[in-house]
Amino acid sequence: MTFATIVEPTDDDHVLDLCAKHLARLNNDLRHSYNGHLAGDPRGRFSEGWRFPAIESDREPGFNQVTLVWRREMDEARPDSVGLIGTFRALYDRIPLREIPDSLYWYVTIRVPKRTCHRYLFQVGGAYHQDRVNPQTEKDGDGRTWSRFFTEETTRPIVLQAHERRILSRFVQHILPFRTPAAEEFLRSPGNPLPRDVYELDQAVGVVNFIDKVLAREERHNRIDYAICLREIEKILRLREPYSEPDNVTKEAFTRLYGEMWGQVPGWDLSVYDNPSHFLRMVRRHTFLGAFSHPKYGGNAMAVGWRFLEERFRDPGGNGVFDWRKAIEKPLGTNNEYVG
Amino acid sequence: MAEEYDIVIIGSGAGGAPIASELAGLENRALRILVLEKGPKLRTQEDNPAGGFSDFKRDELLNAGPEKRINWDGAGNTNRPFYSSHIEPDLNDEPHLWSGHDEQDPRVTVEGYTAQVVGGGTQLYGAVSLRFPERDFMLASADRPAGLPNDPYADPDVDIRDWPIGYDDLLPYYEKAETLVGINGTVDDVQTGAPAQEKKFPKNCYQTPLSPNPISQFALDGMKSIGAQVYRTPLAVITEAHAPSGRPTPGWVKTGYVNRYGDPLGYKSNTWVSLLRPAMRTHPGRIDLRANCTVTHLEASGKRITKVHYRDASGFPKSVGGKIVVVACSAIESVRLLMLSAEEDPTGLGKLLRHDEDGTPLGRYFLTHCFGGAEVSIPDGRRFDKTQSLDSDYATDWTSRLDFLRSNNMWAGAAIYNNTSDQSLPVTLARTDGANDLDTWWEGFDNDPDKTGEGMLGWMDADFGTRLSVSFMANQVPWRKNRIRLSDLRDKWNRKSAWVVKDWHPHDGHVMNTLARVCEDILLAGIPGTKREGTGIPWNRGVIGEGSVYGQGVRIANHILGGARFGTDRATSVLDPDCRVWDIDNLYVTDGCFMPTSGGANPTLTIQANSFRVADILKQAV
Repeated sequence: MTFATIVEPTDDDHVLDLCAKHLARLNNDLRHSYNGHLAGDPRGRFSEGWRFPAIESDREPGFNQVTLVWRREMDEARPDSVGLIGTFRALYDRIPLREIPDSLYWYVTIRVPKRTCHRYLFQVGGAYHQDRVNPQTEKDGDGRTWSRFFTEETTRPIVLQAHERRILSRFVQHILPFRTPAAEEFLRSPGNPLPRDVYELDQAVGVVNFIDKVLAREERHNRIDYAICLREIEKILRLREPYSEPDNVTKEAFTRLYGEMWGQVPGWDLSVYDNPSHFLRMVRRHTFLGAFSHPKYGGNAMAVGWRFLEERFRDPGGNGVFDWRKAIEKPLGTNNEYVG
Repeated sequence: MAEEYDIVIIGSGAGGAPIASELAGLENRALRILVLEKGPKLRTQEDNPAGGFSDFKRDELLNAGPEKRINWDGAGNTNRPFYSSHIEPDLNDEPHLWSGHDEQDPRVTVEGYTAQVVGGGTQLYGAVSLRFPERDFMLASADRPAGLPNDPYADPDVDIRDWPIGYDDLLPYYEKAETLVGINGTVDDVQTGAPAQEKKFPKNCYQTPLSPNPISQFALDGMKSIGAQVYRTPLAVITEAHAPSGRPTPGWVKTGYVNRYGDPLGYKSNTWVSLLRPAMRTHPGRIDLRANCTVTHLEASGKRITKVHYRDASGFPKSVGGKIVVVACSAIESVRLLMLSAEEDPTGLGKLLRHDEDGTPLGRYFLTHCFGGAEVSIPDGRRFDKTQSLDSDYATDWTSRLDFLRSNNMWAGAAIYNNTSDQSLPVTLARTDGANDLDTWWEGFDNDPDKTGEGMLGWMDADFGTRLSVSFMANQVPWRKNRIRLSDLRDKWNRKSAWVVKDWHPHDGHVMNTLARVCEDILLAGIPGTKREGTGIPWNRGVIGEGSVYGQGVRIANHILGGARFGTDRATSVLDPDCRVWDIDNLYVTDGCFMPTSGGANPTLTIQANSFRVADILKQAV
């Protein structure tokens, strides 16, 4: 366990730059309630509350800077102090927050290892509070609800259940081009430093992990679609191939279902989700994003999606036409100027 | 007692930053200048002393945005997805509405939003920095083609006005802008070396352009084949050390992360790195830049603006005073701010702004651009690394010449240029596949069942590194019906939102159809083996598609102009020739809303040049 260290606060203006767009307002309508997911929760007032705490790059490789912000209400008395406890330090170790003068904001920036997930609470006036902005929460073993964040490249499942991940894994295999003979040839090529099991490429690419993370944070409003539709898909696959686990049915069963989802799906309960094609479109978009967006989001592991494109697409002279490394930061890419 | 400044400038983009930088450099006076910017001041690597990280990233997801949903009951697109970059406003916080002239079924829209950040729209723009052709300043009085279809000159709802200044008036300021901003390109024809831009160009202020992307050769061949003079597109990206802004010799400049990306390294010449930052370094203490501050309204006493009211980064109300107040928060938002201010004080400031007057020009003659082009996948397996590009290599404004206009029955001309970085990156390729504007991202990919498995591979085989487009940017007819008004929809500050009422004039349709066909001709001539649509040959990959925004029910949101045009007639204009609001002694407006016609080219350089012009006027006024 690596404990988080506190980063010397030097730049109040940067914290205001992180906060103002999302948190400064007079109107308290729940305009950001993720289609009702935060109905009644004051966190639904804030635009893109998922951006909090802010996860940013750090000079130390393998770490992120995490800036946690406490915002008092405009008509609320100014507290004497604000503290923070979390699993990134010993839980008795209260970290004090710094107040930005003439503002509503208190903050602290800590250095946290990448690929980790943490619970935290603010301590204000002797009482412990969840984050008032970040909608991510998690219960501990005692049933107490904490706020939660995770850093870049985290692979720990956050919202998707194991059976959901297994079905989704099969589903995205069908969408991506990585089960094609051409892709498998690329993966088997000598010197390609990919995970050994090429048939797990979709997992290596990390699409399911990416979707898990995007549903935990940016697109929380789409989590319910995944829950309902993966349940429907599981039900239908069990009916069609009763002697196989749903994630282990034949490729043909997935192919058929995938095709049906553009229109009518026999056995699909339209009373619980009336538009299977909407879900299909969403999964396709998420799958593509997961395979080809920056690896820090949890997909495109080891930049394998980019490397596939780099290898496959060449000009008539055999030169690659997707030299992504030239623009991207080290050690992922080769750029000497841009640091990420 | 409010703080007092010599000048308060609202907005730090193309309209505001030139004035701040110029007046900060006054040698005989140390003026106190306040720049209020709604968005944050995001750092380049150089700006971040703590570790060299930039707040801008080469990151497709950060810049394309995850899915968000419109959450306004009653809007025509409630619950529809939208995708915006990290520096564009959240439409659920700060909506704009858009509808046709019937004002029915308004939709929440990205129309008119560029970026809310220090540097404004110049942080995200494609950096194409063309001057307007000379004829575009005098479209009312210049020789015009006869027999125009749906003749805009004969339409009583159309009011085509000459600018109160001409190209020659703006020429020294174009030169100043090009010099101080930092632009690369060429004046002369790339093959013959003869003058190629359709305007006087006595002085070359450009840096040397980078070598073009090889895919652009098809566009060059096509343009030359149809008789155009072709120059390297002026792009606001430095390619050499730039002394005026203190930026050193760039390292590796060519990257597809330019158009719609903020530049972490500061090579892209946004107004922060090119104008504001240098002025603040050279003249410390003269410019007070306050980011994250939203101006809510202006207050007047008599014929002067006495206070600028704003909300700070926490939302606390603040106000300041200025001897001069400059509004430059992009066309729609500037008009909205004037209207909101008028509503706060209907009998005072409202009267001065003629907000409720019958026939008020405020908000009227809103303009974008006629926009469209042609696009193709280069056939025969030819493929290029489009990520090693800026955005546009070759341009021509040959279509602004009177002989072209006459032979094509067009009232005004256009710039045409090829694009290179479009669809160069994998996520961008999918996101913009089949999209017509920023509202239709992902629709083409999402709705194509064939883009799966082998089908996805086949699509990428066809399109990755092969897409080439040629675009036009043409004048839009100034139509009285096209307007900005206030809606009852409230933003996060409980202020009325802007409602854009806009459609295309029938002559706009003719202009767009004509120019889209020219773009198609360029690709037909430049790429061996292509065929024109509509010739009986079935449409398939490798065959050119052409079109425009006209008739497709979509909008083009990147250029917003007009709505508070300047002129010599106070009855028909909002601003006088100095860009001062008629009847208000100390209020100036300098973003694109001053334009009476939209010009046949991208507008940012002209906005910057005009702001330098107004800065010279203000030097006498303060």
